[in-house]
Amino acid sequence: MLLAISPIVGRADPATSAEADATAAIARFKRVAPMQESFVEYRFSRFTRQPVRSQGELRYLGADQLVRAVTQPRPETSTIGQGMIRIERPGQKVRQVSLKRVPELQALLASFTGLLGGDAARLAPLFTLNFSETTTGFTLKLTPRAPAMQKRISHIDVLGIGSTVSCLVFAEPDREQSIVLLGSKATSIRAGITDASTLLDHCRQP
Amino acid sequence: MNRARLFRLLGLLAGLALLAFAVVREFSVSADLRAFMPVPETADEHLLLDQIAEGPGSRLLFLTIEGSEAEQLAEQSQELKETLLAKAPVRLVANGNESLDDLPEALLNLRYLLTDRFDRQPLAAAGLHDALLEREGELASPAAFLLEDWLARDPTLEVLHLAERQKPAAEPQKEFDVWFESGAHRAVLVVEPTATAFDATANKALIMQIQQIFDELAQGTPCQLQINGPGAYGVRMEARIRNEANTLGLIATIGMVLLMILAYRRARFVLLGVLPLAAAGLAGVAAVASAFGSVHGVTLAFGFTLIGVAQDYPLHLLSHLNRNTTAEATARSIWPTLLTGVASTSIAYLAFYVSGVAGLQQLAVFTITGLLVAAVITRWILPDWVGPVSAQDRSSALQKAADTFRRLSGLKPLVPLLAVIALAWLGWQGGPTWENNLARLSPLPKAWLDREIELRRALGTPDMRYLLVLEKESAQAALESLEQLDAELQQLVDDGVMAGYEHAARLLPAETTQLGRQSQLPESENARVLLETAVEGTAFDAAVFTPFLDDLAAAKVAQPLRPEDLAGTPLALKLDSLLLRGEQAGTALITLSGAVDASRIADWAGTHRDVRLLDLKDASERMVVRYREHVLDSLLVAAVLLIAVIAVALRSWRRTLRVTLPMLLSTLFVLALLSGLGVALSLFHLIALVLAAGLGIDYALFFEASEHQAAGDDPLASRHALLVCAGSTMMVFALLATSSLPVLRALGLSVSLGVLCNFVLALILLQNRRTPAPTT
Repeated sequence: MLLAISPIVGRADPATSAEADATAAIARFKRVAPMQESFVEYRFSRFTRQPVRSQGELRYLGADQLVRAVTQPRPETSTIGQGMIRIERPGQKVRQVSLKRVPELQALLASFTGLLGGDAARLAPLFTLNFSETTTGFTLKLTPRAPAMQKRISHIDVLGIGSTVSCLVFAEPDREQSIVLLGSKATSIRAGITDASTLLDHCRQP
Repeated sequence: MNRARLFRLLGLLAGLALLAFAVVREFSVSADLRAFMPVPETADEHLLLDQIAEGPGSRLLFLTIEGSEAEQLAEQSQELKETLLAKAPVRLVANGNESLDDLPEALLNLRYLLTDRFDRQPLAAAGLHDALLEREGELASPAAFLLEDWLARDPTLEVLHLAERQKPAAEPQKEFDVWFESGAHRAVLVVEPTATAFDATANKALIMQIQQIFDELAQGTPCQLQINGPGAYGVRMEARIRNEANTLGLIATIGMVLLMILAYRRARFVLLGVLPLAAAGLAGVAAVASAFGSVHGVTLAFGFTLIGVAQDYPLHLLSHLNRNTTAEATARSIWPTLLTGVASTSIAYLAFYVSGVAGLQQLAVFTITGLLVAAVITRWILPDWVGPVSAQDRSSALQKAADTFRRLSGLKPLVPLLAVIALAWLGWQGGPTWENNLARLSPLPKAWLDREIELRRALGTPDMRYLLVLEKESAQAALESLEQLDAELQQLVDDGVMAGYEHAARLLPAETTQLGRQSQLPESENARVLLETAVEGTAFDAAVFTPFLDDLAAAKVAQPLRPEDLAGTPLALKLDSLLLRGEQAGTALITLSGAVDASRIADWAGTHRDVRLLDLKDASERMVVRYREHVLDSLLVAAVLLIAVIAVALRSWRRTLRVTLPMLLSTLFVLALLSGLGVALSLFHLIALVLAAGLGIDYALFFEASEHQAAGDDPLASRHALLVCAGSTMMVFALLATSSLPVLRALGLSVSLGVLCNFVLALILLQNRRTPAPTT
C-alpha cells in the first residue's frame, strides 16, 4: 500500500508533477456520500490564551452539502450548501448567511467537498494545489487564489496517510488557526492539549 | 369689412401666439395627488393626510427584481443598492442586507447610553464574566467570524441587542441575505428619495436613473425591475395619461373630422370648428398656470374633455347658417341662447371652485375660461370666415334623422313613469351608493394601490387602521412619556389586546434617560478593574478588550443622542415616521400590530390625558363624507343659481321649467342607472354629472329656442346642430369610457350616459307634435 503511493522520482517538470500528484492523491480521497466522521476542532484565536475546543460530527451529504454538528461545548448544527450557511442552536432563531460574505466558510465547503468527492477539478479553480509525501504521510497544501479568500485564509493543509485524511489545518493571516482532527485522530486525542505543535504531531503519527 | 375681419383674425392669432408663448414658459404639470383630496380640518385629519401625502413613508419607492434564480436576484439587489447609494439622489436604500457596520460611528459609541440592559443592574464584573464565557463558546462556532469583528469592542454584544430591539416585529423573508417577497421569487428593496412623492420632475429623473442603473447591471440576464410607490405612480400616471390622450385624441380627431365633413360637406368648416377649441384649451391652461402656478395632470386630462362643451358652440353657428341671412346675423341670433348656456355651465363649475379643493378649483378656472373664449370666438370671429352658404351644405341623411327624431315626442307619457321607477329604485337603495374610501378618491388604478399595500405588508409595516397618538409640548417630553407608558403597553401585549407595538423611544431614549445611564457607567479606572476581574477564569486576555474600555470612556463623557443626530441613518426613516417634531410640539405615534382589540385599547388610551386612539379608516371616511356633502351643497346652490340665470334669460318660469326638466330628469336617470350597475359614486362621477348637465342645458336651450323661432328661420337647424353636437360628444366620451384609467373610464361612462339621456329627453319633452315646415 505504502509502496503504491510512494513518490515517483525522476519527473522532468516539477510543477506539472506536483499538480499531477495532487490530482492523483485527491482521487484517492473519494468517499461515497452520505458519510459521516467525528471531529475535534481546536481554534487558536487572537482573543484567547488557550485554543477553544469543540467536537462533534461532520456529515458529507454529497453534491455541495456539508453538515457540521457540534455536541460540545454547546450544541449547534451548521448546514453549508447551496450558497448559504444555516446555523441552528437549540432555543435560538435559525441564522442564515450567504457564503459570499464568509470566504472562510466557502473555503471550508469547497475543500471538504472537493476532497471527499475525490475531485481535483473542483478544487483547482479556487486553490493552487501542492502535494508532497513522505513515508510518514502526505501534506496537500491548498492556497486560495481569490484575494477575498486570501484575506481570511492563507492556506489549508490537508494531512493524512494513504487514502485517509486525518487532519485539516486552516491557517489564517494573523497567525490564528484552526486544527481539525478527523475520524480516529479525533477520538484518540487526549484531553488538555493546548499547543498547536502537539496537535500536529498527533496528526503525523502513523 | 375685409380689413376688419383680417384685423380680428390677426388679433386672435397674435393673442394665441402670446398665450402659447406664456404657457410654454410657465407651464409645469404637477402630479400632487393631494390636489384632489379633501381639505383637512381637524388635527386627526391633518395627521391622516400627512401620513398619506407627506410622511416619510409616502415618499418610499418599492423596487422588486424578478425573473431569475434567487441567488442572481440577490446579487443584483445588492449591486443596485450599492450603485444607488453611490450615485443617485437618495437618502436611504435598504434591501435587508443592512449589517451592523452600516450604523454610524457616532451611534456605535453611544450604545451604552441607548441600551436598556444595564438599567436594573449596572455594568459589573459578574455580568461581564458571564458574557465572556458565552463569547468563549461562540468562538468555537463557524459563526465565530460574525463575532470576531466585534468581540474586542463589544464583549456584551450591545450592538446586537440594540439591533434586535429595533428590528420590526415582522421582517420579510431573506434569501442570500436580502429581502424577498414571501411566496414569490422577487427581491425587494426600499428606496427613500431625497425628493417628496409629489416632486414629479425629481421623481421622474430618479426613476429613469434607477431603471438605467438596473439595465446596465442586469444586462444579459432575464431579470426585470418593477418600481412601485406614490412617487413612481405619479410618473407612471403622467405617461399613461399622455399615451391614452394621444391615442384617444387621435381617434377622436379623425372621428370629428369625418363627422363634420358628413354634416357640413365643407373642409373649411372643419377648420372653423377647431379654432374655438384650440383657443379655449390654450386660454384655459394659461389661466390655470397664471392663477395656480402649475397645472395638475388630472386637471389637464379632465379639462380637455370638459372643453367638449365648447366644441358645441361653433357647431351651433354652422348648423344655423342659411342662405337668407348673413353669418353675422345668424351668430347674433343664436348669441343669447349660447350665452345662457355658457353662463349656466359656468355657474355649475363655480360650485367646484367654492369646494376649496385645489384640483377642482383648477378645473373650474380651466373650464370657465375655455368656455368664454370659445363662445366669444364663435360670436365674433367665425362669422367672418364661413364664406357663402348654400342649401346643399347639409347632409340629407342627417336631415332625415332629424325628421325621424321628431316622432319621439310621442313617448312623452313614458317619461313620468320612468322617473317614478328611477326615484323608487333610488329610494329603495337608500340613495345612490357613495364611495367613502379615501384611497379610491385617488385617480390611480386600484391595482397599483393594492400592489403598494401588498409590498408594505411584505416589508412588515404595522397595522394600517389603528394608531395611538401621544401629544406633548416637545419631542423630548414625548419620548419621556413613551418610556413611562412602555410597561403598560407591554402589559396590553401580554393581555392579548394586540400582538405588538412600536414607538420612537424604543429607537431613541429620551435625553434624561441617556443622562441617567451615563451617570451609572464606571469611570475609566473602575472600568479597567472591572474588566480584569471579569476576565479571570475565562480563556480571554484582558489586553484584548482595550477598544471596549475606550468606548466606555467615550460614552461616559458624550452628549446624549438627539433625533437630529440620526439624520441620514437608516434609523432616521423610522424615527421620523414615529416622532413628528414641531416648533412647540412633539407628536409621537405608537403603531400597533397583529389582531388589535380597538375598544380595549381605546379604553386604555382614555385613562391617559395625552393619548388617543386614532382610527384612520373612520377618520378618513368621515372626512370624505364631509367633503362630499360640501361639494353637494355647493352644487345645490349652483343649481338654484343656474335656474335663476335661465329664468332671467327666458323671462318665463314655464319655459325655464321646460328647459331644466330634461337636465334634472337625466341626472336622476343616470344616478339610477349607475346605482343599478353597482357603481359607487366618487368625486369624479360628480364632475361627470355636472358636465352632462351643462351639455343638457345647452341642448334644451337650443331646442326650446327653435320652438319659439321666427317664421323665416330654418326649423331643422336646431335639430341638425344638436344631432352633430350630441353625436360628437357621445363619440368622444364613449372613447373615454374605454380608457384603462378608472377615473377617465368613470368620466366617459357617466358623460356618455348623461348626454344620451339629455338628448333623448330633450327630443321627447321639448318638441311640439306638429310637423315642421319644409326647409327653404
